[in-house]
Amino acid sequence: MTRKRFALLRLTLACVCALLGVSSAATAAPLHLAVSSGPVSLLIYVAESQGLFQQQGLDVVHTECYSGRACLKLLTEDTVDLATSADLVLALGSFVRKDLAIIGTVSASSHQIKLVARRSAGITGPEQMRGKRVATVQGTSAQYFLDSWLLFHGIENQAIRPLFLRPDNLGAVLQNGDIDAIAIWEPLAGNALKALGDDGLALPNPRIYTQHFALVTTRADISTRRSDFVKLLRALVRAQQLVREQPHIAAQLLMRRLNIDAAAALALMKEQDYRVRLDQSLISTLSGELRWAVREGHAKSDGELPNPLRMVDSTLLREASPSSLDPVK
Amino acid sequence: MKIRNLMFAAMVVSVTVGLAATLAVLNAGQEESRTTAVRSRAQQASHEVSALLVLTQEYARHAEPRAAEQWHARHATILSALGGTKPQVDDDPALVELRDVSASLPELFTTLEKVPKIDTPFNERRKEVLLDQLLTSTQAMSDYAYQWYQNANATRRAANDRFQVLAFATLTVLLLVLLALIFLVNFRVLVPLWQLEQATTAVGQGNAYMGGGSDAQDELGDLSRSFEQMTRKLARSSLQIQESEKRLRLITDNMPGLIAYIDTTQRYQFVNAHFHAFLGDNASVFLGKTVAECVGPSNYAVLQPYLEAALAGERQHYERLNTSDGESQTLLVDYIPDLDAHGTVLGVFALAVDISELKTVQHAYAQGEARLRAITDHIPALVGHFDREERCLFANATVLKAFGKTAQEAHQLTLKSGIDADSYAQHVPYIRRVLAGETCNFEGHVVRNGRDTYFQANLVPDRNPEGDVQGFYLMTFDVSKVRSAEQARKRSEDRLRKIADNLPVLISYIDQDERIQFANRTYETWLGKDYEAMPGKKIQDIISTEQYQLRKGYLQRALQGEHIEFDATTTALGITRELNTSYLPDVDADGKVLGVYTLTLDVTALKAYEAQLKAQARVDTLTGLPNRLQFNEKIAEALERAQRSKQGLALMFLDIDRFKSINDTLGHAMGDAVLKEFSKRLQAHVRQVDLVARLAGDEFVVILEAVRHRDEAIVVARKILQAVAQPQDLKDLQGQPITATTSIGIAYQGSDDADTTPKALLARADEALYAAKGAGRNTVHLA
Repeated sequence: MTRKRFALLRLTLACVCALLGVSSAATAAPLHLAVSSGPVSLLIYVAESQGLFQQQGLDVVHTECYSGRACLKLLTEDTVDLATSADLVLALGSFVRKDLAIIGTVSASSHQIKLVARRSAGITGPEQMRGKRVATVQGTSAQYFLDSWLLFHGIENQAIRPLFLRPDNLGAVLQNGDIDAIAIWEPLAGNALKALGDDGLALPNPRIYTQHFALVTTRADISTRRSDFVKLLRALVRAQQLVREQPHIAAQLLMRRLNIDAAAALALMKEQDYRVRLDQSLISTLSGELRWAVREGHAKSDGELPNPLRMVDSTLLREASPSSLDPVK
Repeated sequence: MKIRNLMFAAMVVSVTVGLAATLAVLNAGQEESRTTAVRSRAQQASHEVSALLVLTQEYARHAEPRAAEQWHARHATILSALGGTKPQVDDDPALVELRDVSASLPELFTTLEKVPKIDTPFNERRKEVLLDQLLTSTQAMSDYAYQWYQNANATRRAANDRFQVLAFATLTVLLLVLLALIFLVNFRVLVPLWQLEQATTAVGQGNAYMGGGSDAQDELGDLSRSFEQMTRKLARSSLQIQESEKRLRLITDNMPGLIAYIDTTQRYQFVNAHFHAFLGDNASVFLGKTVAECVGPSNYAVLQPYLEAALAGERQHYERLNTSDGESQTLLVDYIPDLDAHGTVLGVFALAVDISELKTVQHAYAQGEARLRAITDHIPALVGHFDREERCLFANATVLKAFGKTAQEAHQLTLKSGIDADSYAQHVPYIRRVLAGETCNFEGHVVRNGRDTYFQANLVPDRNPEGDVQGFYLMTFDVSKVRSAEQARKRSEDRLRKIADNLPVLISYIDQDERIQFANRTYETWLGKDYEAMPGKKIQDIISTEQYQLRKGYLQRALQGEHIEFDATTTALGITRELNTSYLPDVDADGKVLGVYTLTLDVTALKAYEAQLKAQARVDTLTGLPNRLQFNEKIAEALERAQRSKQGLALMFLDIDRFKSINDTLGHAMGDAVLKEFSKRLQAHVRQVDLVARLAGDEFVVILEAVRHRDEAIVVARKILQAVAQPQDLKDLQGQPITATTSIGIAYQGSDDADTTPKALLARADEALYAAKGAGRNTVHLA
C-alpha cells in the first residue's frame, strides 16, 4: 500500500471517528521526512534530538539522503511526506511536478558550495582554471554554482573540461589527481580540503550564489496534513531559537552527525543562516535558476517557465510564525 | 531586633529598593530609546535598500552610467547607515547578514559594468547571470533589512513592555515598602508608646503597675520591662520597709543586748525589749524621755561624757560595771553617732551588751592557757606558735631557755630572726606548706657549738573557726641521740654486711612471702647472682625451677618453724659445688615465724675427703670381705702369731678363671654378682677363724692359720674348687646358669721354716697361682 493510499484511509477513518464522536488517532500517525545529510539540516537534527517534534505531538520519522535531489526523489515517489532540498533542485523539479510546494527554508548560505582545487594542478586563482578538469554533480546546485562562478569570472564553460560524478566520489577522485578541481557542497567540500592538506585550495567565492535549503511537500499533502506541517514548522522555529541561544549544543550535535571535529562544526555553522524563513530573495533565486535550467538544457520549456511564486505556500509558515515571512508575500 | 536597627534596616531597604527601581526604570527607558533608534535605523535602511533595488532594476534595463553612479552613491549611503562593514558584538543576525550581502554587491556591480558591450551569447549569458545575482542579492538585502526592522520592532516592543512592567512593579514595591514602614512604626513604636503612657498614668495615680512587660526585644520593650521592674521594685520596697520595720523590731527585741536610739536632745526615740527589761519598765514609759530621767543621776553621771562625745560625732566604746540588787554585771557599751550625708549628727545608736559571761570565759581561758603553758613548758621540745607573718605569738619555756629570751622578747621575734640562718633555710619550704594547710614534718641538721645537732620539726596549721590558716604551731625535738643510735646501728649493719659478704657461706634471709630480704656477696662469688639486686625478689625468680622444686618443701617446712638441713649439688660459673644448706626459722617473741635465715656451706672438699676416706676403708664394699689394707694388717699379725706359736700357716691366692670375659660379655653388674657369689662360697668353705679377703678385681686371698701340714691346705683348696665350680643361680645371655671356676695358688709357711715377710709370702702364693693358671685353670698349685 502506498503512503498516499494509506493517507486516504487515515482520512476516512478520521472522518468516521469524528462522526462517532470518538477522538481521532490519525494525528498520531508518523510524519515521514527525507533529510539531506549535511550542515544545512541542523535545525531538523536539533528539533529531533531535543524532542521538539514530540513536544508538538508529532511522531517524525526521518530518512537520511546524501543529496537534496535524492530526498526530492523520495517525495515524488510518495515515500515521504516532506523533503529537504536545495532551491536549484526544486527549480528543476518544478518542470516535472507542478504540485511541489515549499513551505519554508531551514537554512541559507552563500558558502555552502565551494570550489576546491589542487595547488599541484597549478591552480592559485580563477584564471588558472582554464583548461583544467573540473568535476561536479550534474543537475544540482553545485553545477549551478560552478556555472555562475565561471560566468562571474568571465570564463566560458568550454574553457574548462567538466566532469559529472556522484557526490561521494568527488573527494577521492580529486585527491588521486584524476581531476584538478571540484565544485561541491559541505561537508564534502571541507572533507576534500582536509584530505588534500596543504595541496588543497578553496577558490574565492564572490557571493555569486546564495543557496536556500527548503522544506518541500506536495499540495495534496498540505491538504491532508496541514496541521502537522504547521506543528513541524513551529518545532523548527523553536530549534532556530535553541541554535542561537545554545550554539555549543548545536555544534556538538553537528559533530556527532557529520563525524567532524569541533572547529569544523563551528566553521560550518558560521557559514549558515539557520532561520526558518520564506524570503523574497528565494523567489529571485528560483527565477534565475529556472532560466538557467532551460538555457543550459536541464529542462525543457514549452515557452512558459514555471511560476516560482506558485512553488511557495506561505500560509503554513504564516500560521506557525508570522514574523518569519517577507511582507511581499 | 532593636528599633534603631529595624529603622536603619527599613531605611536601607527603602533606599535600596528605590534606587534599584529607579535604576531599573531608567535602564528600561534607555533600552526602549535605544531600540526605538535601532528600529528607526532599520526602517531607514529598508527604505534605502528598496531604492537601491529600483536603481538596480533601472540599470538592468538601461545600463546607463548615470544609473550606475546613482547606484554606487546609494550603496555607499546604505553602507554608512549600516555602520560600516565591521560587525558589532550585539548586532542583530539580520543586520550582520545585511552587511555581508551589502559588502559583496559592489564587486558584482563592477563586474557587471565591465562586461563587454559586444553582444555575444557568452556576454549575454554572463550579463544575465550577474544581473540575476545582483537583483537576488539586493532582494536579499531587502529581506534582511525587513527582518532587521521586524526584530528591532519586536525588541522595542519587548523593551517597552519591560519598561511598563518595571514602572508598575516599582510603584507597587515602593507602595509596599511604605505600607510596611507604616505598619512597622505603628506596631513597633506607637502601640508600645501608648501602652507605656497608660502605665505611667496608672503609676502616677498611685496604682502600682503590675501588668506584664512587653516581649519585644527592642528599646521600647526594654523600656517597658525596665518600667515594669521599677514598679515591681517600688511595690516590693514598700512591703519590704514595712516588713523590715517588723523584723527590725523583732530582731532588736531578740538580740541579747540593750539597743536604743537617742536623739540630739538626749531623749529616747527607740528602745528594744531588753532595754525595757534592763530598766524594769515598758516602752511607753521611756520613749520621749531624757536619758538622765530614765537612768537616774548616778548612772547618768557615768555615761554623760561618753554620750556627749558621741553626740559630738565621736564613736564611744567602753565597759561599765553595773550593780543592781547586789548582783554585778559588766556591760560593753557602744555609742554610734547617726550621721546624715553631710556629717551632721542626727542622734546616737546606743548598744549595750552584757559581757559578764564573756569575762568569765576569758578568765577561764586565761587559766587554761596557763595550764597549757605549764604543760608545754615541761615538754622536752621547742614549742612555738606563729602567725602567717611568722611572728612569734607563743614560745614555751624550753624555747625561752634555749634561746635565752624572756616571753616578752620572744613575742617581738619572728622565726627568721629567732633561729640561725641555716636552720631557718631548712624550715622555709615547710612553712610554705603548713601555711597552705598541710601538716608536715622534717628532720634537720645544724652544727651547734661544733657538734652535729639533729632535730625533727613538726609543723601544724593553726586554723580559725572558718578553717582559714592563720598561723602555725612548730614543735621541734632534738633527735641527735636517736640519729647517733641509728648511725651506730647502720655502722653495725655495715660491719655485719661486710662480715657476711666475706664469709665463704651463702647467707640470706627469706620472708613469709618467699621473698629474699637479704643476700650476701657470696651469692655473686659462687653463683654469679647480683646479690644487691636480690632483695625484694621471690626465690623462685632467682634460682632455676629444678632447684626451687628441690628446696620448696624444705622452705615451707622451715617457714612453719622447723629447722631444716639438706645437701644439694649445684653448678654455677663452671664450678660444681656440694652444698649443705640450713634453714633457720626467725621466730619472734610471740612464736610467730617471720622468715628464714639460710646458711649454705660449700662441702665439696668435705665430700671429697669422705670419698677418700671411703677409698681407704678396710672393708671391700662389694663383697663385705676385708680388703687389701686389712689383709696386710692381718697377714702380718698372722705371720707373727704363727712364728710365735710355731704353727704352720697357708696363704691361698685365688682368682676367677676368665673373669674378664664374664665382665666383657655379661657386663660389670653381672661380674659384680659373680664376685659376690664367689666370695660367699669362699667364706662357706673355710673356718670361722680363717680370713678371706679381696685384694682387687677377682683376686682373693685366704689366710689359713694353725695348718699343721700343707696337705690340709690342699684339701681345703680342693673343696673350694668344687664349691666354686657348682652352677650359680645367675643366668648368662642364653639363660643358662653361669658356671665359674677358680685357680688357686698356695704358699705354705711351716713352723720350722725360716721367717718370712707378708710380702714374700704373698709373692710365693701369687707365683703358685700363676702356675695353677698355667696348668689349665680350675686347679690348685702349691708353691
